[in-house]
Amino acid sequence: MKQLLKRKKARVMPEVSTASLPDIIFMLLFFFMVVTVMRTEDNMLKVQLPATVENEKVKTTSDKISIVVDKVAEAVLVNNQAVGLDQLESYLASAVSETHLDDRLAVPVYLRVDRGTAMGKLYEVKLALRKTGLRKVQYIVDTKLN
Amino acid sequence: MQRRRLTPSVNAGSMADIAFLLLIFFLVATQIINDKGIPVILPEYYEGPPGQAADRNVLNILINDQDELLIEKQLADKHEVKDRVADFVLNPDGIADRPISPKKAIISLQNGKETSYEAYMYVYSQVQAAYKMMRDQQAIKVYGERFDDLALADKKEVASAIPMRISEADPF
Repeated sequence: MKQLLKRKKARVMPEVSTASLPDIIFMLLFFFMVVTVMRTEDNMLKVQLPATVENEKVKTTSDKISIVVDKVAEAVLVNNQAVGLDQLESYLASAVSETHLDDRLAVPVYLRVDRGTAMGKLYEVKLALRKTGLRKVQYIVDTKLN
Repeated sequence: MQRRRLTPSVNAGSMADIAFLLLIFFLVATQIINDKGIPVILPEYYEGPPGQAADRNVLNILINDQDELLIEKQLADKHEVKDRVADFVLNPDGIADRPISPKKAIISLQNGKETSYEAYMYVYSQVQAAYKMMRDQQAIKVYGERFDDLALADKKEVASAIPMRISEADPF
């Protein structure tokens, strides 16, 4: 036993090879490069999303129309473009032709609406959406319930 | 002379450092998008008077400009919407003032022009939660599985047994 212990202590620690370290790092790098989506939209208006009891995960897709409505502005943001409420309908019609989807009911519309917004304003947005036939709507909500 | 010169090997030792630098940049820049939402299909646009439904089949939920909630013209707490909706639609006690079958039930949501989006959304999500709960119960009763775990055909079956019909009136 004593001899065994002695032998163990005397053994030299083998060096860990770091040659494959760059490969591992590159792998991680590529993963993050692929996963990263540079988020350029939705940043122009700060909105506080409402909290709800029930919600579903939202699929991220590039073929969509995103609308931001805040409580004070006269205009809304459609795909990051300020549009007056009276021109919304015609603008939506042109925005839908930019997506690659033929069926208007298949185009998802993501609505980010500030929690303090009056429903009268949202009604006009909804009306314009209904008139253009863009009826598939997702109300984006806060994940936390407070 | 020149031809015989050996090409110098590139030092790859700093490759890891460069990769690290890029890696850290992407780590910091990455935003895993994790949006949560409430899916809704808006009603088709048409002009003309709204359709009529038998009074017993309709549950009136009204949110006024001060964000106060009225269910069937009675003040109610916003947390009880889910239970009230489920109770109304399923009608377990067979009350004459409520629908005979869940297929007939309609939830009517009304709000004022000044109602806040937050109050509206809270009530709307409660109604959706009520339907999700009822469909789950139905799915477990019939198939022994939760609604989300069912096959598509079975899902349709359950959804048509308890259809979610929410009518949204124009704001007053």
